[in-house]
Amino acid sequence: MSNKTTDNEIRILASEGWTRRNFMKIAAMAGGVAALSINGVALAASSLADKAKALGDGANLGDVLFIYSWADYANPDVLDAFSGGAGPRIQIATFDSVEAAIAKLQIAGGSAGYDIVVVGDAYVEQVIARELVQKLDHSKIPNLKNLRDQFRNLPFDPDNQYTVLKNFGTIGILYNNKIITEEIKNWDDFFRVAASKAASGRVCLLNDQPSVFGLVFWREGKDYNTGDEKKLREATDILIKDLVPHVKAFDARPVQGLLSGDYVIAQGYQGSCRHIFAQDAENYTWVYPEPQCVVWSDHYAVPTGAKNVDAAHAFINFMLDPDVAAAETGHIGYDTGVEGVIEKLPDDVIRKDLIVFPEGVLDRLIYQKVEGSNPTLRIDLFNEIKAAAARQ
Amino acid sequence: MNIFPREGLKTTVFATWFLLVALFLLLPIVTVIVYSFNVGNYLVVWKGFGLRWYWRILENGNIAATLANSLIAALACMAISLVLGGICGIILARRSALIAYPLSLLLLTVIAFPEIVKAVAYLVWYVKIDLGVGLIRIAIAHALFGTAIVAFVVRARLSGMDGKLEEAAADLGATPFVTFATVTLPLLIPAFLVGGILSFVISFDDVIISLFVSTANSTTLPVYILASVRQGLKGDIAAISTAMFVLMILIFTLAGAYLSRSGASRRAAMLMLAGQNDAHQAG
Amino acid sequence: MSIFLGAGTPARARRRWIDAGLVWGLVSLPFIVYLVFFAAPVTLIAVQSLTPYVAGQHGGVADGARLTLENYTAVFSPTFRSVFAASLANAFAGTLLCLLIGYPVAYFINTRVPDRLKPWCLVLIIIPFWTSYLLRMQGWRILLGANGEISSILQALRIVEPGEGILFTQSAVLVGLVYNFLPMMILPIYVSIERLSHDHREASRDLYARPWQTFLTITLPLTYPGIMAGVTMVFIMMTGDYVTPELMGGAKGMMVGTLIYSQFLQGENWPLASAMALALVFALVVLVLAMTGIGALLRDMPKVIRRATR
Repeated sequence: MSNKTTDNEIRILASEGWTRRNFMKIAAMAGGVAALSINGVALAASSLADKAKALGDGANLGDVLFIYSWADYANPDVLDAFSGGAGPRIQIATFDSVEAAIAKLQIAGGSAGYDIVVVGDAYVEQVIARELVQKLDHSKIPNLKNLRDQFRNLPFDPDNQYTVLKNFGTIGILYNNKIITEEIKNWDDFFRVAASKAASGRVCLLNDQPSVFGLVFWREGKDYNTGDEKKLREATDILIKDLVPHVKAFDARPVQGLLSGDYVIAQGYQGSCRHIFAQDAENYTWVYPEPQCVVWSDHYAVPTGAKNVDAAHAFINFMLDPDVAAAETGHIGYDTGVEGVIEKLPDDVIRKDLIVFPEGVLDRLIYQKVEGSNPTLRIDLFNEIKAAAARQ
Repeated sequence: MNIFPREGLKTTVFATWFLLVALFLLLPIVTVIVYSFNVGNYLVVWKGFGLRWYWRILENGNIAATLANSLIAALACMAISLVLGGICGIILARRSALIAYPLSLLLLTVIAFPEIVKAVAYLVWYVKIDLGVGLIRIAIAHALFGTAIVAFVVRARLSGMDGKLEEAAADLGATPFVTFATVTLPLLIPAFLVGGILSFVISFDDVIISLFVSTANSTTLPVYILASVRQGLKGDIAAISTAMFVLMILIFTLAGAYLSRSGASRRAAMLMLAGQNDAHQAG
Repeated sequence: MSIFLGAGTPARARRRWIDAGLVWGLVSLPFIVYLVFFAAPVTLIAVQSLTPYVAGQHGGVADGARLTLENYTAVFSPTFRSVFAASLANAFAGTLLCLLIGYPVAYFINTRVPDRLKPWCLVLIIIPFWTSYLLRMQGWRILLGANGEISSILQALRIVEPGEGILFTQSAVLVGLVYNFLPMMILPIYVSIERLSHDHREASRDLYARPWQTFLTITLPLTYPGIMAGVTMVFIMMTGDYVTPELMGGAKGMMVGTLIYSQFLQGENWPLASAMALALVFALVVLVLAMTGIGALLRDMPKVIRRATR
């Protein structure tokens, strides 16, 4: 790792200009601290910034670009490079559930003030139908051609009229292998281990209803998008009986709880879980569980009424550049779907198997569908599940 | 133990209890301050000592922007609260029970109403009346609470003084307005200071209402911090929280110094600080 | 400043009209503001709580809908009842703890601390109240986590299993709630003890009452207003605080506020959310009235006992 640090140092010292960002990096080095990216991805800050400048090309991109997204879902160095090169400061407002984000957008009418919103694939149809996002101007996104073919013509948004892929990922199991010594391969194991003495009371589930209901349906390989009331109620009963008594928390970011010892096994998003291996490479194990799971994707969209539309397009274009996309993927741990991204990852990238799905995993993954899944009932049932958990 | 005039076992027991409680109250604050120097990526795992996160918050434009939003909203809230609260406080202290009693009831309702209910109601209403500017929404929403606070502090102050000074001014031929401007207002300055600080701090620190009512560019610092805390504790949040803490201490020290210099007795200051609750007693 | 006598000229009369008008204008200003920005929103959600939920409509509210009580029936579902009971239980326990912890502190500062030190003691109590709420929560999350300092102590004392912390348990929620609202209990009690003249207690002692008798029959009943002020404030605020239980309680932290939030923003069911909100307010009003009544009863207990045993 120390060689990498020196390389970065040299590149920074050699670059022109004494930007604020360089200062920060030097200051960080002086404090003996690793850079914020969890991989020292082999790209100098200045080269990313140059790309951003080239994109900006003198066009007035305004002062601020407002992005509405999940927290911790972008590489800070990439954002800094965009701001440094192309101009506008980037401000990220975060939401912790897609429905809440859509509700906020809807309530605000056209005046929410965001220039880019990150929408989950299952909800794209909804936001288009509700006219919450506007059509993209492809002439401003020439890098669209860099997107791998399979992401360019998705069923819910043919021809990328409204959205551009940000990244995709899946869900799996992360556990402390010093405390849980048995092997976990499928969701059945998850249920079993959760009830075991070692893990009971220290289990963490994700905080959204599709993921939690998924546990029951994926376990049997059944359709987890069902809206059938009877099936959903049965699933609720199973969860309340078999799993809820052992749950400690519903938490979208279990890494911290695992590190602090509050959880020993958790359901988690693969990219965010990968961060634990930067802290501690041995005591935790990640599993892509069988027989079934979800593959989800997140997409950039521009809300209707966005103020800084040009900057939004420039940003999306910037993110589609292979080098930038590689830097993004290397940090957040999710494949951004751009041509050549995987090849550009450095050799010593942490746990590449958590960025690129191993052989056979993709075949087991299915997409989420909101339409027909009876979301109102699901939310009520999820509240029931959480209330049951609180009673334990 | 020669600081205590009355010695004995009971005093010792009480004193120990007090110290334990004080420790309890200060413990998490000290913890965060210490951990803000933890250079590790995850706050819960101590990795080493350093100023990394302080550099980071200087760097992070987001924090600066949300901090600015919080300050603007809090200052606006304070201004509105001082004006409206001052009026309410004077009404409560001086006017007939016919007006004062309903007003008191109204203000108590505003204070007592659960935050989440207010947040939902305000949001729905702002959408209905098409008020779109986030910071104005937040300032007004906070000021409704702040006004009540200032009102009770002002009332506590006024009810502690009888009307003799104002009577004297009237006897000397001053119109009500002149009396107000030259006698009442200056006497109320300590109350305004205390009430102003209270409403500023309450606004600055507010989470739930700001969460519901804000728009994109009016995200306040606590909302930003809350999102971060939910996602996992990071050092930059600890750093900015520490910085805010130091700022608050400064504000209070300055206010305290001013108060004691301006002659308001310590007892009066303490009573004013608790003036909001004093109101419950009396009304 | 010259001295005028009598009403005098028309100019003066006109000025007096303007003055009066201005005064009335000023006095009505806050009322108008509260009408527009508080009364109106609350009325709106009250009305919304009476409209039926229409799926697919923005917010679940359709225009020109009829009035119905169906939301209130839905509110009393088992889920809501159990969560509401949990919220109230937390608030009761938390308020009681605040009272038991806070009263001695207020008493101590008032009766044992020399005057010059009193403000400092109060400042010590108030400081955390005025520091960022989230700062305090972060601190507790670090301390109470399984690897945290407090957990290590508790593990050593064998109060918890090795490797366990009290974060994300009911206890953690109580710690968080008590911590947040303790100063709000201490202050009004302090004020009312302060008002209680030293003479009362001295007189009682002069009449050969033992210290605990003095306390029970004089101090405690006479500080009743302060206690009630503290108790009602703290209870109401604890019931409505859902962020603290969520942050500290994990799965155990499901409160009414969480439900309202979820129905409002995720379920987009504004009528139901409004009904829940108002149900919460009604319940609080009833409970506060009950507590005030019980409190008054307790205060008058000594009198009743004395009269009965005469």
